[in-house]
Amino acid sequence: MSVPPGHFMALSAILFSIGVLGVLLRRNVIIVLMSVELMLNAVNLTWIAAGRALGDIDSHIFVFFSLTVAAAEVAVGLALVVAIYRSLGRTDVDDISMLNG
Amino acid sequence: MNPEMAFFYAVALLMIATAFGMVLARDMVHGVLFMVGNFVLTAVLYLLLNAPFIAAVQLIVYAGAIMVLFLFVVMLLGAQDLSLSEPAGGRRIIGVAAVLILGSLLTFVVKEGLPAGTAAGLAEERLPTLAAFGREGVEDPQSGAAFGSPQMVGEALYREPYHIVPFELVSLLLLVAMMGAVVIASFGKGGVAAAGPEQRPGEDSA
Repeated sequence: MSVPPGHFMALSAILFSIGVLGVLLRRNVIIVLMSVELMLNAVNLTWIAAGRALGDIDSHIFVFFSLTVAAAEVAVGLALVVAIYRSLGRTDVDDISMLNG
Repeated sequence: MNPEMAFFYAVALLMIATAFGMVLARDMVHGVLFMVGNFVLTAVLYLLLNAPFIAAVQLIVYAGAIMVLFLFVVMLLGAQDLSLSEPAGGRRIIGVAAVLILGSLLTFVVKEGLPAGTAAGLAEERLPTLAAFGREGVEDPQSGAAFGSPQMVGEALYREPYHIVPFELVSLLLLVAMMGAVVIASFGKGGVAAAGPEQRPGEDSA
C-alpha cells in the first residue's frame, strides 16, 4: 500500500501556506522571491501526486514547463533585485514604492 | 504503519521544517540553504511518486541553477541585517491569521478534493491507468516504459504534436528572460548603460 495522494495534497497545501506566510510577513525582496519559489514548488508537488493518482503522464509535462518558467522568473526577479539594490541601496519591499501612484 | 508511509512522514516533516527555516531565516545564506534542502526533499518525494525524470530535473534546475543564482545575488549584495526589516505587530498578527485560515481551507479542499474512491474511479476510466502501470515495476503495455520514466515523458513531450509548440515557446521565453535579466541588471547607477564606454577597465590609461 503506497501513500495515498491526499497526503501529498495536504503536504503541498501546508508548504504553499508557509510560502504565503513568507510573502506576507517578510520585507526582504530575496526572501519574498524564495517564498514564491516555495509556493511554485508546492503546486508542482500537487501536479505530480495527482498525475500518479490518475495515471496521467501529462502532469509531468506540465511540471516540466512550470520548472522552466520558474527558472526564467528567478533570473528576471533577481536581476530586478540587483537593479533595485543599485538605485536604492536596500532591498526592502516597503521601500520600493515608485509605482505607488 | 508500513515503511513507505513512515518514510513519507519523515520527509514531509523535514520539508515543513526547512520551509519554516527558510521563511523565518535571520541570515539570508541560511535561508537559501534551507530552500535548497526543501527542493532536494521535494525531489525525494518525486522519486516516491514514480517521477524519476522530474526528480532529476528538479535537482538540476532548482537545487543547481536557481540555488547558484540566489547564492550569487546574496553574496553580491552582501550580508544585510534582516532583524531590522520585520513588520509591525499588528501586520504580523493579521498575516499569521490569514495564512492559518488559508492553510486550513487549502488542506481541507485539496485533501478532500481527490478522495481515494474518486481517484480509483477516475483511474479506471482512463487508459493508461494507475492500475495498468502506475505501481513500481509495472510497465506500459504499449511501449514497455515504466510510468514517469524519461522514455515515457519524452514520448509524451515529443510524440503528440501539440506539445511541440509550447516546448518551442518555452525556449523562446528562456531566451527573452536571459536577455531581460542582462538588460535589467546592467540598468541604473553604476551599470553598463550608465557608465558608458569611456569608463570600461583598460581604457582609462589611454
